[in-house]
Amino acid sequence: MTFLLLRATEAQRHRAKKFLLCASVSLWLVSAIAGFALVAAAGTPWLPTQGRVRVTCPLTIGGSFEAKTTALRGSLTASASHPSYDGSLVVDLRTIDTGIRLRNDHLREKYLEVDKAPGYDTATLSEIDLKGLSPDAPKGKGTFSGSFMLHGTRKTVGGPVEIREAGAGFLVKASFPVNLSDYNIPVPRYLGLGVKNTVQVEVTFLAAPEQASQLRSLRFVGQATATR
Amino acid sequence: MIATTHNSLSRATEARRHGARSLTILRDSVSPWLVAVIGVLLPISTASAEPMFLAKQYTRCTACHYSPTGGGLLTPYGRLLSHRELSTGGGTATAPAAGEEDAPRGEQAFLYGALGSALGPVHLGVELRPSHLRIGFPGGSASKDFVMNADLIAAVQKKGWTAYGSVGREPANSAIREGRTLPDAAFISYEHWIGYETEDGLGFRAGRFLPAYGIRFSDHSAYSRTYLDLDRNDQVYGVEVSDTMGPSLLQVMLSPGKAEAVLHDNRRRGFSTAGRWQLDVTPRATLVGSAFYRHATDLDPKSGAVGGAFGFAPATRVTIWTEADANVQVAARGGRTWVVVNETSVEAYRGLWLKFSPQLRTAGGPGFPELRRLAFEVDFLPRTHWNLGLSYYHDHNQTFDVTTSTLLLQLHAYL
Repeated sequence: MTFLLLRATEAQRHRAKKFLLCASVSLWLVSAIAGFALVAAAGTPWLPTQGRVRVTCPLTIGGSFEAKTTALRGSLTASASHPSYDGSLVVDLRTIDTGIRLRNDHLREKYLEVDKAPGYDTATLSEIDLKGLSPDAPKGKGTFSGSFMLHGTRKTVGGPVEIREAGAGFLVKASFPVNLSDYNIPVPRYLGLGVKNTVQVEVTFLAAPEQASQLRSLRFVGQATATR
Repeated sequence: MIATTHNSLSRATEARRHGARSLTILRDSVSPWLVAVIGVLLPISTASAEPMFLAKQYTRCTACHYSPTGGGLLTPYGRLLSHRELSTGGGTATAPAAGEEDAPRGEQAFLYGALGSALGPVHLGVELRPSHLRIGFPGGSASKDFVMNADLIAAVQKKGWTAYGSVGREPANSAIREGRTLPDAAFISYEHWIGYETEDGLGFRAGRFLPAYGIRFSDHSAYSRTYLDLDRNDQVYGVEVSDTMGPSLLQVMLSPGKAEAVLHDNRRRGFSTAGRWQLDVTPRATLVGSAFYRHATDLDPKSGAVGGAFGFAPATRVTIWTEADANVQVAARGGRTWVVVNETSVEAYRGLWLKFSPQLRTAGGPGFPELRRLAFEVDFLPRTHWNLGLSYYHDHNQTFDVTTSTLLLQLHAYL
């Protein structure tokens, strides 16, 4: 009986050794893969897709109107140290639409002066820094700050941001106020009606890793070709 | 026959709007089908407010009109908008330069800018609305050509102050004096008031104006206007205080009574107050809550209304408004009715709007039948200041089981 017990114990010890060895190797592998993934994520450019920019312009008489565009491009690369991003988000101001042609003309030509000099036809947000979000998993609600270039003037802006996982990427929604006078934009007035000095910018986009974006673009081109 | 019909309808309308005593006269003198078409024939007040322009992201009347409750003379911006963005032929026309404060010349201006800057800060407008009306009812039909509006309106706006007034002609068989309908045309000033608004949006006005309540549909015969006493001649003499707070607008009115009662029939004069709150949820979605209280007069019982409205523009050429109101008193008998009006407007082509409007008023006791309406309208704005409207109303009086059809053709010139 004792012999049987000793044999059993030896077999169990052997199995335990085997299990420990396997577990150690697995843990090492998991750690290595995770570490590689984090490094890869930090270095991978994220592209804004399905972008939408809405600018809410309050009127002096009350009420407001929206100017919007989907022409959002750029690239953001996550920094490994903390949730800040290199790169920039760029909006094509020539595509901003307020729903009324005359208002579009005035906005682009008189106030944004898109033809005045190179760079006036875009608005650029760069040096984006996230706050209140976990450095390891930037998800949830927090705030951001960034450098905003508009009408030839650069200012720091900031506001709330919400990031949610969406497929292989992240759905990002951020908003921030812009004081027109800070950017040397005259306060719009026309025939007794005016826009107040502070407008609210809301940016929504799906941040997808560059490869996924390219694949999506290829798929889109394929679908378009098939449709033709 | 036409004159008789019109007289009867005037009486019918008066009866409906002023209570049980007049209803007795109505029941004794006119047939039931007439009750179903009341409110259609009589003249509209001044120029239409157009809630359909929510699709263009205009949630406030004062973007285009001097009056905070809409309608009437257009501001320079409103005129410009009617020129460049609303009329079929104005899309590529030259507009005043960005930053301009006034535009006394050009197609959008008074008389197409013929007077230039001669009027200084005074803005003038002329309202003309020649119309043709045809009503079909069981056993016959009646038609009539008439001028709904012929008014001259003036406004001056300076440093937050606005002075506004109109003078014009009220059509024959329309004006009421001491309870009687005048057979001839009469002088009328639908609105005259003075107002002030601070840059922060706190304002007041005093004088004669239509109280702020619900949505001021351009069709004055919409159930939410006709049956809530917001129809022609329902302006009050009073004071209105308003405050714009971010996306909200609050308007409160106090009045010793309806203007026509104060001027011509003291027996119908009674204190009234109204409040309206508007919240612009987005530039294309608006929520409105309203309440109205009218104290009893010598001839009318105490009455009140409370309601809500919601409008949204799901696309840049579509606006959908729905208003529901409880009229908490209809008659001395203590009846209660519900009024629900929907208006869906679609810009089918630049300057061509199609409207569809189902409406309902529930029964409110003896003499107040349940009414249902389907209204269709085509609004064509070919050139600045010109609006051709064709409306068709299918009205069904559920209580008496009578159906009528009304066709209204209007040429609206707002020069």
